[in-house]
Amino acid sequence: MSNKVDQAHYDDFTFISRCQKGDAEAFGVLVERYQKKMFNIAYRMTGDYEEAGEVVQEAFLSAFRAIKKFRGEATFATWMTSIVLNHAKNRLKKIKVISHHEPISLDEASEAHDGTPRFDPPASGMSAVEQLEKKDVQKTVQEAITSLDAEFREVLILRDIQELSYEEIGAILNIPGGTVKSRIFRAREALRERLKRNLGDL
Amino acid sequence: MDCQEIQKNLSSYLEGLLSSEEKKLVEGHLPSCAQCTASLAELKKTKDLLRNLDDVEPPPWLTAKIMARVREEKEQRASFLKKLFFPFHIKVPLQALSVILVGVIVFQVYRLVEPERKGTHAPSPPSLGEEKKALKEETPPGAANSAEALSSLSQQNTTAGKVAAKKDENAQPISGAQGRGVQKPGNVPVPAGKNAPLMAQSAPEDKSKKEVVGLANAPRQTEASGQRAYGGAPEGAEKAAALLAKKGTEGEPGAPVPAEAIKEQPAHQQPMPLIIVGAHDSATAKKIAEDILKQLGGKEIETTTQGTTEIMIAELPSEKIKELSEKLKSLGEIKVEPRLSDLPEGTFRVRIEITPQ
Repeated sequence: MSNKVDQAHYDDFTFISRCQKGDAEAFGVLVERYQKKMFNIAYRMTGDYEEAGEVVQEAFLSAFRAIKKFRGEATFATWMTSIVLNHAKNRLKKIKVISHHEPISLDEASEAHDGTPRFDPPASGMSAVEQLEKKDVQKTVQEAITSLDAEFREVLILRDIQELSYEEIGAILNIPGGTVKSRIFRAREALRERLKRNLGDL
Repeated sequence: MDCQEIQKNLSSYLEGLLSSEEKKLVEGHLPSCAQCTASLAELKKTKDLLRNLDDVEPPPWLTAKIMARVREEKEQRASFLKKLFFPFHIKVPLQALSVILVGVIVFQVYRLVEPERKGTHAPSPPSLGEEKKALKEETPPGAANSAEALSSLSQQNTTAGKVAAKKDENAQPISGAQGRGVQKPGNVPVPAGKNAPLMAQSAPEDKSKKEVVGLANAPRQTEASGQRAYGGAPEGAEKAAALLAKKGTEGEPGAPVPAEAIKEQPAHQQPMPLIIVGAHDSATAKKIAEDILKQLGGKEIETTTQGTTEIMIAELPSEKIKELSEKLKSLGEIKVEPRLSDLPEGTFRVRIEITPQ
């Protein structure tokens, strides 16, 4: 772990201890700091912008309720990520039950409540066609992710999107390193198959 | 190595996780196998596609909404805690109020009881003066033994005795004529036993008692007439009782004490001898006194407790009352009124008050 990460961990911990002493506003700093990362994980897990918002809210609320149990063995980011993943998985199970195994509509999923998906502004120098293409590709990739099992989704999100180490992933998912590795490879293979099918030529 | 084996390792190869030997095998196979090369390219593309996914911007209100819910949660928790502890806030005034209420009740009860106690004690100084002599006559030197230790007090006691006796004279013109020693209070050289210091105590008290009693005027008169009655013949007692009864019916609502005295006395048409016992352990003393009463053949023994005072009422013939007063001395200091020597023949209801000391 770099010094920068250590510093962030220490910095988080000062706010966490303030929360633990009853300062709810200190939690706001942590929310502000991690909401985007957590929202993205939730969004990639659910494939639904609205759902992601709900998951993140619930996850932060759970974290706040359990903040006194946080002992600093893991970083706040690690702890928070596992909470978000658990909430997302629970929500997916519920949705699955409600929709009777119907896949989530990705047209709805990638759009916000006002119908406009909120992506970061695209890199400048791209043509409108390129931008549209990119948007389509991103949509297709997300579709492919969402079609995978939850346990494949999460390892891909953590490893290939969030670019976490095997160690961190093992800590978040509470599984041994070997399992992390093999699961990632299988997930990647599965995704490759889906993408090949959906995009045609990779 | 076949393609299947290579395919398995492609992901690790991409991650750079293969040993140098495995790496060599993969790199040796790839140029000769188009399928595996394509698979590697696809895997790499997949990895890149994932990595190149743009970050999604969370809704701008997300932090605010989370924090609103966090604050709500905290308030709920706080209100839950409040629910747990709030009762204290509301109980404090309630408890304070009840404490004040109890205080007021106790004060009222005390005010009601206090004059009664004073009323029953009021005649003690004069009667002590009498009793002293009565005791002296009946049990000359023996009982006075304990008084020797108090001889240094004798001077004071005599003075107190004088005052008390003077009062006696004023209060009991009739009985004074009959009682032998009363006219010569100054002649009482050494106080007759334990009663002396008690008397010295009660003498100065008398003034305050007078004041209290004076408020209702009646008690004083009641005492006077009551004592007259004790001192006199049974017919005199009857008169006094009649007088008391009359006073009782006239009604002195402000003076509950005489009212009680009146109530009791005319009921039996007899004066009620009173023996006040100062005991260290009033509960034990009460039991002993009860035994004594039973031994002497006391009838209709009633026992009540008034605050710390144990009250016993029993019916006894007058000679047994004298015996009773003697026996009760074993319990502690006693005060007897009226003089038992003045008690006419017959059966009386005697009241014993055991007060802790």
